[in-house]
Amino acid sequence: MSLQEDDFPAGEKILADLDNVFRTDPELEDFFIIPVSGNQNKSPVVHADHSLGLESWCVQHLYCYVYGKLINHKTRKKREDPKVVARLLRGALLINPETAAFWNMMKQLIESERVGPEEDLRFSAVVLSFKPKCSEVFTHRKWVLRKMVAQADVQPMAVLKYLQAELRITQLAASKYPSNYNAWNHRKWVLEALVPKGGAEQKELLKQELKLSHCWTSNHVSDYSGLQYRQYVMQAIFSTFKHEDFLCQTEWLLELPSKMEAKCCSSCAAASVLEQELQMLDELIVRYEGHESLWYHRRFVLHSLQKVCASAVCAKLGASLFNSVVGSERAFASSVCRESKLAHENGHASRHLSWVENVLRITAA
Amino acid sequence: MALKKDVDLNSVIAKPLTLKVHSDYIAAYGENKEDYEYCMTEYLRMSGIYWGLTAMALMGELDRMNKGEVLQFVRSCQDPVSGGISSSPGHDPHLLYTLSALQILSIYDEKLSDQEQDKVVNYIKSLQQPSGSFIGDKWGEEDTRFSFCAVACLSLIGRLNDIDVEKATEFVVSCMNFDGGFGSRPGSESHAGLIYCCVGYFSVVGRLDLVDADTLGWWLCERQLPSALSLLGESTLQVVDPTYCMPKSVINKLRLAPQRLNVS
Repeated sequence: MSLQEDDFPAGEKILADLDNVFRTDPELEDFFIIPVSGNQNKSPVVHADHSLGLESWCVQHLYCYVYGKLINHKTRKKREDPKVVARLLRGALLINPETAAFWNMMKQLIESERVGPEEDLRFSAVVLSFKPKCSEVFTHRKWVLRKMVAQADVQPMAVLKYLQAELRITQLAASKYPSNYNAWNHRKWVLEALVPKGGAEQKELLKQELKLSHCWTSNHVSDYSGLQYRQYVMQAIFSTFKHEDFLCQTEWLLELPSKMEAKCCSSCAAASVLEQELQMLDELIVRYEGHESLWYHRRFVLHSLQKVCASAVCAKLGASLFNSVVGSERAFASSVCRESKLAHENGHASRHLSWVENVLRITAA
Repeated sequence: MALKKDVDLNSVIAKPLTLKVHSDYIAAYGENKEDYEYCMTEYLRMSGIYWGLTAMALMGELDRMNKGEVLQFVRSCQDPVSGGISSSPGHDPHLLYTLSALQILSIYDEKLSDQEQDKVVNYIKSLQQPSGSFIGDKWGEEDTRFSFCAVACLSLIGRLNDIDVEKATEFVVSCMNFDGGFGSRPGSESHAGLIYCCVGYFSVVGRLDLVDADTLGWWLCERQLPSALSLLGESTLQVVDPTYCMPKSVINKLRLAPQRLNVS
């Protein structure tokens, strides 16, 4: 397969067929490469049920074809019409979305209004269905979204629509690839960039995200990045706790018994959330043995609880309360060591105890 | 045992490291520049060349690579407008490939001309943001990897003070997490690759004191899996501390506090 392959006669037809699918199906969701040795006389483009397939026999020929044309256009050896460039780019990026230069060419087409930003977002969402971890796709989406929300006449309803789309897309990407660092990172960026800080909208969204991440965690106990996202949401929530607001905030809490009085003050409210998080983890760790991710999340909770107790003015929180939490922690880890039949779960528990004793800076009561 | 998230290395795996196979592979790589696999990886060619050259240099086989061709390639990738360097001709300038290019020149003890150097420095300076962070290129992606790339580039050519190092340092510090690790942006998950970049950053700017070495060291130690120890071979098998899953001699070398080794 040659880079200079200008003689791939099927190339233009395949690109036109791909573009036709994007144009006629605004609800297109998925793209796959179908492993088929195939009939070269028939179009390799398959479209059904909002899914797009490309038969594998043509992929190498097609990529070399579009790559050569795009690089020749870029280096001004042979310029193409913008519509043609857009079509070539879509073909190239479906197959190899890692190529930043091609996403940059797409950005230039968006800047010159040859390609609509919303149309481009729909396209890159489809690319993500095929390569859910690809950082270049997320990077490109950020640029497009930043451009769209920066417009002077952007409507709040439109921004909300973009937000909801990003939340849906990042969740899909997270479900397709375990511990998808880039997807969860993008979700955090979305919360920061598309939601005004400090308002009612932010609080509602954080509540929703806390609930969603509880459900996600229970179903993806080894998703380290998903758990860290939950940590990020909790930290964002704590920073919204102001003295006069927290009293309404007991809906943050899970429906679990609490030893702490959430309504006492904002520090107690934070401590309650963290205490319930430990209870949730107690249950998950016992039910699903052998997941380091759950123990790791536990460390975050303890570290946060320590910070809350150390900085709280409230008499109910303080070193003695935290030390009693540490006592419970020792008991829990020891019981897991005794009860677990899995050697490496035993290892997780004993390493956790070691971390508690040596890294968590426990002061004398 | 899927839950273990580790591999089982059996005794059948080859014991001696077959360097010649590796050096032959690298020397032959890219002989056919027009094939599909080669063009699929053009987007990172500069870095690929750097990795290949480094490996060859470590194996004492650098002479097998075509120095003239490599240097010509590097020079052909500097963008005359921005001063940045791309992964390959026709691709776009980016900090990642600017660093790989400078690293390649460094391996060959080649220097940029004053004019080329000023252009690179101006490119890097232009990428520093008000927060101190660096974006990777003009399109604006912010990441601690780029903070590392920026200072590593400038350090290689002795121009570190051309940027606001203090502000850049503030940004990297803001990416430190509770576990001592670092992520790509403030609030991002600790990740070994990004920890490498951030610790590398602090090392280049002479501020390793800002790293919480004990906490981070603990995190790093726990990432080593049991299979990694089997690579040492039976003759060098040592007593392993169960907390760290690594030999006590290594723990001592890392200078972790002795009282932490007593786990009862």
